[in-house]
Amino acid sequence: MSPEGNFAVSLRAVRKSFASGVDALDGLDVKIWPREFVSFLGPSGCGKSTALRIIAGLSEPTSGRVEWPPAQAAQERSPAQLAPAQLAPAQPATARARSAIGIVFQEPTLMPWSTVARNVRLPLDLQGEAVTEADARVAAALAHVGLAQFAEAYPRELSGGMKMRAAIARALVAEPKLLLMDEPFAALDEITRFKLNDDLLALWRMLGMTVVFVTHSVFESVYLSSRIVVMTARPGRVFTELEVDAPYPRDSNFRTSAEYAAHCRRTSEALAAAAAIGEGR
Amino acid sequence: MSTGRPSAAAQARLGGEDVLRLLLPVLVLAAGGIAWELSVVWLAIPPYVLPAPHVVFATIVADWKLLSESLLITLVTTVEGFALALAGGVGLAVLFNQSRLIEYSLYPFAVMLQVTPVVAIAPLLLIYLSQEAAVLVCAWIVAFFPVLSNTTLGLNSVDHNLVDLFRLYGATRVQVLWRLKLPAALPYILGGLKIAGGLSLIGAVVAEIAAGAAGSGSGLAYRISESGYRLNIPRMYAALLLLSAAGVVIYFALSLVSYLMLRRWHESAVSREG
Repeated sequence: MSPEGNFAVSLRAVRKSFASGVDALDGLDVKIWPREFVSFLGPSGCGKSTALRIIAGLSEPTSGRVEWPPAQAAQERSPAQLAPAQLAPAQPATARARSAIGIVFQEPTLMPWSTVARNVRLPLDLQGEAVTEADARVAAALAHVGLAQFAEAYPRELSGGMKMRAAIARALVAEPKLLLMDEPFAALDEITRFKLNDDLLALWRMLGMTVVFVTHSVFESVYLSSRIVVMTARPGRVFTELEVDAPYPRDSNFRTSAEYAAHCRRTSEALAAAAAIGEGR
Repeated sequence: MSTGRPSAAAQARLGGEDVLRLLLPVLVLAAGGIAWELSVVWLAIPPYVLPAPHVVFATIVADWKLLSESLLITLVTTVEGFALALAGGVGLAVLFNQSRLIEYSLYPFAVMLQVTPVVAIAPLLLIYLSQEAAVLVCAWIVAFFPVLSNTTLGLNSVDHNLVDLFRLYGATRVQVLWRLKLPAALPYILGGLKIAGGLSLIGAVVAEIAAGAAGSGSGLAYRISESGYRLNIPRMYAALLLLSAAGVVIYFALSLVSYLMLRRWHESAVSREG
């Protein structure tokens, strides 16, 4: 991996201060590699959600910058080089660049007035996708998350876990290269969360995308991630980065293994040290 | 597929409650009518002071041709005023939502129009406008504000994460308005319309009364003031009864529309189990 070429996205000395005077991030440096599963782990207030919003382009950094690989920038200039399976042709460059990102918030954030299928179709509708093509992609996305039978249900008719599945299907329908997830399972019960963790890992491996996952759970981050970025609070910056070198696929055996416990202990210690720095300020 | 739809038993129970909700007001109305009828008979109150209910109903039947024509005129004005309030209220709210400057410039005047009593505006309007137009403008003035203020509230009550999602996918302003803001505002708009329906009738009646004093007009309100001058008290009651019946019908019609549009997704229109 050459430093200047092969990354998925890179945050360079990103600082974000809000009008209230709070410094959410100060000097955040993170490089995300293609197809990796990275967790941002940190105490609340460490700016991990802010970092995610900055990657998504929903928030502008006060200083510093978000860098995208030159290869992708070149692709944006010349549509001919696009892989046809990845992105539909004849889209304006900005829409195409954005469609490479999917996002899942802590809340399912579904439109209550639309059926699950219409919700999942939203990204395609907004980008002017043809109807027949869109229908097929919505059906595929719903099948991926196990909601095929619930296409015509309304969000209020679904359980919390199913709503979150619908939100994931909506993020996947535009076939993103980069999936951003902001504590998506924090509000779910443990049984549902474990199931969704497993399904998310399966989807990540099957679809070959990059995932940036924000969480405050040590156990969740170790189970899911290939790399954990531990952050300090106020101001938010990288405390340390931990590789989780356990092989995929990971399942319930991994969850009860000594290896998993060792990774969790190491990560907990790092998080405690990071929190201590935050409190010492 | 086990979705959260109410079970048959719950629906039966809800059905029972629905019957009660309809039955009780009808019973209270009947009891009130009987008490009224009996008091008039026992106390031998003459019909030019207080007509018994059966006299009022007899008047409705006897004067049906006259009264129904007036009812139609008042209803047409009300519906027109309501339609203009819907278009004006939603249209203005959307305009305000798109441009802060326009909102700051115009909103205070919308409030001013609302807080000035329409009874005081009506005589002036009657000087400048034809009677039909003046009545219509009054109905509109009274009815449009709740639509405007509710729609404004609704358009501003959109889930911020959904707004972000639309931004992420590069939605245009029109897409955000049409696919996000207006659907999110729909329950608020419908709530405003429920109020506006009744207010439009009130506006029409107020203007007709003002116009009636000037000696022209033929709506139900005009019938009331005309019958008052002629001391035809039973017809006053008959016209009043028709007005309130019209108001009730308008309210229920709008409630039904609101229910039908929201029943699949909005908490206000969804019945819950247990």
